[in-house]
Amino acid sequence: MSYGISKEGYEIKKRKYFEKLKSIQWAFKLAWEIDRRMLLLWMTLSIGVSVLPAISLIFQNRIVDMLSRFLAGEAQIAFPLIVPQILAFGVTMILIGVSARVNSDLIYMMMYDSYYLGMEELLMDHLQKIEIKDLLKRKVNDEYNYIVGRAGSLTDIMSGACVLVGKIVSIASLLGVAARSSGFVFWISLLYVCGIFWVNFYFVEKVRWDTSEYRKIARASDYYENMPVDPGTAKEIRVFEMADFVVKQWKHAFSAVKQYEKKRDFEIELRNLISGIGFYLFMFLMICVNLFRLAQGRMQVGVFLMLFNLCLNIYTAISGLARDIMSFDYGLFALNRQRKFMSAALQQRKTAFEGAETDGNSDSVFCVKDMSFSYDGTNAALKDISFEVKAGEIVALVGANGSGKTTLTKILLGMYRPDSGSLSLCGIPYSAYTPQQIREKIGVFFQDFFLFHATIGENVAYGDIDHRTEEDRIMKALHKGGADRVVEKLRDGIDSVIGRQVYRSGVELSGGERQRIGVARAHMSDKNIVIFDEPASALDPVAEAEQFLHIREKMEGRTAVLVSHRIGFCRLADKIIMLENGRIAEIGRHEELIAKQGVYAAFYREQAEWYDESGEGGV
Amino acid sequence: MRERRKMKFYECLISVGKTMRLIAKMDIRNLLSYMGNRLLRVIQPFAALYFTARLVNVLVGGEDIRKALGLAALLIVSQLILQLLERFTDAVITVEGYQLYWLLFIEMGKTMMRVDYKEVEDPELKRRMDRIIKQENIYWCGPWEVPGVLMNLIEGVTSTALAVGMSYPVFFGEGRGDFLLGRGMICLCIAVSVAYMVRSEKKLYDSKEKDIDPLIEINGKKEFYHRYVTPEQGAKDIRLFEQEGLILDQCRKVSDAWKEKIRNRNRIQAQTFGIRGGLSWMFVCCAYAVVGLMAIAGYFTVGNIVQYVGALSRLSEGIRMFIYSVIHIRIQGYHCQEYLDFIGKQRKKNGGEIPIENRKNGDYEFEFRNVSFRYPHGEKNVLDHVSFRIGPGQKVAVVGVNGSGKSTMIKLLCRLYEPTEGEILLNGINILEYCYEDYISLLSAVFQDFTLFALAVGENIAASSKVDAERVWGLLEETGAADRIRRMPEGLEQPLYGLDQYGINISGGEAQKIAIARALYKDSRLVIMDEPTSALDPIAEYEIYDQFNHMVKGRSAIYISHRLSSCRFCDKILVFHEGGLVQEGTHEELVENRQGQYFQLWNTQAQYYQNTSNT
Repeated sequence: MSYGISKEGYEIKKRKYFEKLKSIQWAFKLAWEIDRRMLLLWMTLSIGVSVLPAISLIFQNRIVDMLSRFLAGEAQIAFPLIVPQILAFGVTMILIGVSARVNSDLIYMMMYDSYYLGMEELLMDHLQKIEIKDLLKRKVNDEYNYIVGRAGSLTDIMSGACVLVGKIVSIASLLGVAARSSGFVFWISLLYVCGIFWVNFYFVEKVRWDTSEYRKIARASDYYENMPVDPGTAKEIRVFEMADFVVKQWKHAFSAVKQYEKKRDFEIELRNLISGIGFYLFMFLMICVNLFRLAQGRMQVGVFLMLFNLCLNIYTAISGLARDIMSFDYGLFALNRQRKFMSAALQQRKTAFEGAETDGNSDSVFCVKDMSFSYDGTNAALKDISFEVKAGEIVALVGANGSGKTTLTKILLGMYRPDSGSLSLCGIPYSAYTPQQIREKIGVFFQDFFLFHATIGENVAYGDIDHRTEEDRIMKALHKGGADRVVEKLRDGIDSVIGRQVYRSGVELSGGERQRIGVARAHMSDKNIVIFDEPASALDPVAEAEQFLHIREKMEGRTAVLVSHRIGFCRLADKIIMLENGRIAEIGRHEELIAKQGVYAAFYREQAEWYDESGEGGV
Repeated sequence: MRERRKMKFYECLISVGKTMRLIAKMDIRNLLSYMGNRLLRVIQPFAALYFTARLVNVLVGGEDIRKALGLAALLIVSQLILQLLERFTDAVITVEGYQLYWLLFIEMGKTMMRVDYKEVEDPELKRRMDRIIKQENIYWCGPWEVPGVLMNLIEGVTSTALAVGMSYPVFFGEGRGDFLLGRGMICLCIAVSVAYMVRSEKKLYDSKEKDIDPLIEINGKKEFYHRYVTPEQGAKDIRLFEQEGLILDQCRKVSDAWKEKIRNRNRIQAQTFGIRGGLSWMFVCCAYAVVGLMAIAGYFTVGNIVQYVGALSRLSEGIRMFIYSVIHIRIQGYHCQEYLDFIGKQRKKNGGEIPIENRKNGDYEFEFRNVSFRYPHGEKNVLDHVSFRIGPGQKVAVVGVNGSGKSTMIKLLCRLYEPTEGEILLNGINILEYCYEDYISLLSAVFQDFTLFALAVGENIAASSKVDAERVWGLLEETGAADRIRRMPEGLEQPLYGLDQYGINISGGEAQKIAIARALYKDSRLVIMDEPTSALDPIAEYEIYDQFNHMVKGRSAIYISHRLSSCRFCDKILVFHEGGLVQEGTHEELVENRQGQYFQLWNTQAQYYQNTSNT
């Protein structure tokens, strides 16, 4: 028994409108906070400018009236009367001419500074509050990229609002003028205007430029755009002779984008067609009816011309309406999503207690019981993990690719929260710490570390940001990481910028050099608890050995967790934890595990076999 | 700031013309619709004027109402039809415009894939490409604008012609002698308005010119900071090391610089628009006045007033459009030349055209003879007088500390760079003399910093859309990646990486195995592997070593690795140190020399696996 829209459909629509209203309200609040002068100025200007056409019509009417009466021989031209009218008319027209430039483009440009940049700051500020685990989820990541790319949403809404308000005032004033001369014209114009508004709102969703939809489709063509210029892929393209293949895929990718745009353009043209036909019908009706009246003597030529002009003015106000509504809607759509995203993210963030007293007396550093974790909620990356690391112990974490070693280290650093089980650091549960406190206690080097496009000195100094100006500390850290030779070779030393994306005088470093600097960063701080994840995978044997010597020195008396594929180094450890498919397979000292002849022993044997010289090459 | 070469006007015209020819070859439909669209746009207002004028005459002259209705109908119908046609061509232009954007872009991409590799590593070329794109996006300057510019020219000329035609009587009709002042005033108004337009366009353009480089740089910094904070790059490290405060500060500085530039631009634009608007309306008033007075004096009818004033205002518009397009041809000429220069870049021909005979029995021998190499901006030699041979079917291991020149040697072998001294020979002939495509077909490689593409697994391995499934599965089995691929929902068709919703991410180790499979799939004579097992765990690594000879079959191979255990299965070992080849031989021979570099490397790794002395 549905009459077109079902009850649910109605509820959904109502909610959507309600959300939109909330967003509009939020938009105005933001605009007011960020820059109220801009808002007031342009709103007033818009409205002021919009009544000019109506005023000009009034003057025009009077002038034409006087002129036609003169031409028809009815009256003389009374110069004192007509000249001021002409002057006033002229001034109004000049003002209209000048203010014709006060259109949506200009207002957008003027508001750009404050609102665009203000919005950007707000969004980037917000990014810090999002949990890393959530950021890595594809959906959240996509949504975040979308909202950050639409920092212009506020500018769109505000400039659109100013122009729309102006247009509405303009149309209302014109209708007012019409009402004074002819009721018929007034009603038909009103009908026409309402019709146009309705058509635009009907089409607004179909013609909306949804950047995120577009992004999804355009991702492929973006990818191919970047491929030829990246030195990495450039090698592959040449050696595997893939140039033609790449071009073919590329063309294929953008034809998908073209389809998307074609569909949207069709809707736009349809809407414009309907509006256009509407206009011509409107004009035709106006002209015909009024001509009849003119012929029957019920209307003067002056009034006729004025009404004709009025219709044209209404049309001018209406044309471009489509664009303004689109721009407003475009901004509102994005702002709506931005508002929802920011409020959702805030809810998820759990607040820590005021802070935990750091208990230095506790013997246990890491205590993990029955801990499980998964990235996406379905596939467990770690299952039922239990172990304990005491102060001063050196623990090696070993396992095949994908067994969960790096995930475990990230959990120990408090970057991810486990789904179940208990986890405590120095005797106090992790949930009692703020992330900052955890990081203050633990020093770290990651396998997938990132070197920033900054100087070497800065990159190392980030390891202990409060001491970033102490150059001797940086130099000591560089030495411990085995990176001092890297720095000596460079002309600018530790002031050399890494990478050449923005700073052209930057240097490109090899994989091994980058790794050493990453390790230097970890040595920068003097924390009692240290985690190293594959610190030497890109180094040659001699450098690798030095690296481990330095680490062993540094680990004197400290607690350390060492992750590596080089089983040989496990012999340095007090305890070895072997992970397999997210579970702990074996725990023990090297000798114990070898004797057990289990998984660890097999691992060890695989590597050792190649070095077995039966007596040769001893120490 | 970059200096811009001053181009003469006819040079600009030529480069715009060449670009037009290029575009016509790519997409003729776009050009035709553009032309149609502009002509329609020009005709439409004149048609309206024509009919309106007649209509007003009929009305004022009190003629038959039916005639008035007829004229009104003609007016509306003609406008409607012209509008519809214009809309239709508009739509075609928009959609075809996107296509043109990409086609021109692809030409640049093709160039990047075609030029010498050293140009790709040198950021200068990429910077040129970025410039061309940025100038289009920020300033609308570039080959993409050419159709528009030329059409503006046509529009200007046509508009002016029609306008003169329709307002002819004002200047040259009866009563030429009278109203000279009035007519003079109109001409003066037109001249002033046009002169102002020219000057303001130029001023706007000059200020834009000055800002192009700084703005592009600031824009680059802005984009850089945006990407700095995204998860794939540094989010983890930023949190770990608490950089938020520092970064926000930097961002604010960049925003302020950006604001400054934009504010300047806005100010100039606002001024210009305001004055232009005022000027054009003053002109209209003046025209109304003069023509009106002439009408009162009896020269014209009321309807004519409408026509002549309308035509006069179109006249100044038409002249403005014409001058505007001439200025823009001048502007675009420079950018078009930049673009044409870019896509004209070819790979340097070394006179190498010798084709390579296909020796199915793998009888290819490579030789380095006294090769030295230094990077284009390098200060010292990365390779120093290196000489060695790789015989047919030989497996050669290359070891040495970081920076000893191993990867560079590979790049030279792949003809990505050329030696600065000495030569590399294939069967006794310098490789540079062979036809490039033939030579490349002999090689395949797994680079240390290899990349897999966001294509299906099968396509990645085959490096083309034609995939021999059986062969691919065979290789996947040998490299140990078959199980992982079988577990993927679409098997060989599974796209890698996140390009579309079905793409999945794979770990570093899995990627390495696929890269090895790719190198083996190609029917090459020499397989080069640079650290192909660095991301693999010991068992997977062992499997690769174990199968190595079988996987490579009769081909020659070069194997670079830090894991010296890999040396055991190779025929001979080359030891590099500081750019030179210091030792050569089998493992047994080299390990005897306890003073040698090789022994030092070997022992440093091996000591942790010896059972003789326990730590």
